[in-house]
Amino acid sequence: MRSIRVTSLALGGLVLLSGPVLAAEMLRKETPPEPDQVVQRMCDYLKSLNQFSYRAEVTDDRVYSGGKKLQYAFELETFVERPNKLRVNAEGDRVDKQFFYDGKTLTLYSPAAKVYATVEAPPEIEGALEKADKDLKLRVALADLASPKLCEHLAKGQRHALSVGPSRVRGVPTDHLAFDRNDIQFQVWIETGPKPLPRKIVITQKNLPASPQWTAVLQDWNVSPPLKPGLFTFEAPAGVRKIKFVSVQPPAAPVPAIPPAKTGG
Amino acid sequence: MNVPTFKSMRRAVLVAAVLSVPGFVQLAEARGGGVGGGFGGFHGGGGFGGFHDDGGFSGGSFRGDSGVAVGPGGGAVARGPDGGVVAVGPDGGVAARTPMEAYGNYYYGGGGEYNYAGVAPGAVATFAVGTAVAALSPAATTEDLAGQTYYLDNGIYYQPCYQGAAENYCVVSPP
Repeated sequence: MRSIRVTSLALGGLVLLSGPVLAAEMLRKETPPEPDQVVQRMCDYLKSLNQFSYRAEVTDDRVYSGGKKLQYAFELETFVERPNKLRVNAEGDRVDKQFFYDGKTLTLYSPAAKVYATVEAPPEIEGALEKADKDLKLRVALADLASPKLCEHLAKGQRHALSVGPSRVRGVPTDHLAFDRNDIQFQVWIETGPKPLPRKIVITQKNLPASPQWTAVLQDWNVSPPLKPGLFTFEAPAGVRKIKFVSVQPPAAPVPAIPPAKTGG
Repeated sequence: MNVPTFKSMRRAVLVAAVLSVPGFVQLAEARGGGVGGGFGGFHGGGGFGGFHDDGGFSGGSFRGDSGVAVGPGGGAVARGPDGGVVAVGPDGGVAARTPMEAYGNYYYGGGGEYNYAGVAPGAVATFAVGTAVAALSPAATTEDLAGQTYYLDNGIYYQPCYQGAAENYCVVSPP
């Protein structure tokens, strides 16, 4: 919004003062980058990395009756080695889970609950994530960033794309983009310059009453991290029990209407 | 209900909840912490607790519709991805309760994951094999049979299971 407004103001002024030629030139310079192209650059860059790691601070809104929300937080730690290794740790207010994929099996481990489940998995990351999603109904926070099909996933059901303007995330210059899809709206802040890394991601569940958001600020990016052997392979500690993934047909239960939150109350 | 109590779900806190009358929640809590205590999440004593959902772990996904979709009438309809956590216990009461419920029913998170235990009481009431609950009653007991641990609650056998990334108790055939 802000860049659009600035651009049109500048354009209006220039048309009055300097004529249309200069104004058109200014407009070209001030035109924000095409959001889809910026995202494609990010996808291509991530895809080009043989390995990478990052940490993220995540907040997750939870909606309660009356439209009340509580925001919970956790820390995310991700290690990727293409084409077939992924490790994600999540620890925080309401979650303590680790995801392992080593090219042969995928494992979900809950250290606090002392349980884990393992299944065989396809031999590359996207296949493993696809199987987890389709067969196990298991999704892993931001694991799509490790998929070579990231941009395909991002574009699903896209209705609108907006380049919001330049912004800084923890001091890092970024392009702030917003995408409206059928199911969600998401915003992504992508680092400007030669390393177009995602620095912040906000997902808004716009179809749900009270529109809860899931937000991640990504930091400590390392595109050549030291990856210890064994990082991607789960070995059950003593006292940890193996359980099963159970995919249950969910009930088609209506969600109770949640009255909108009262302002000032 | 204070803030530390909300945060107490941090580590597999066991929440024993009793619902003798639908709609009336009587909370009894036990704090395990997961360190050195017997409450490792699925290890019993004084009631069994778990997680209603995955705590936001499944958020940050771009793989299409997640927990909730808009139904024909414009209302949201729950349909995944965490599977069908059954909301109603054998006695007709809601089986799963947490301290947060003093704050009101929890419905869903920013990741789109849906809390089936938050579905209105009476909305779902099946205890067939393959369904699950997020927590068992304080009266639940454990039985070790053929190297497996079963939980017996009001005549129904359960085993811990993952539904998506959420830890729940799945109804199983009697061993």
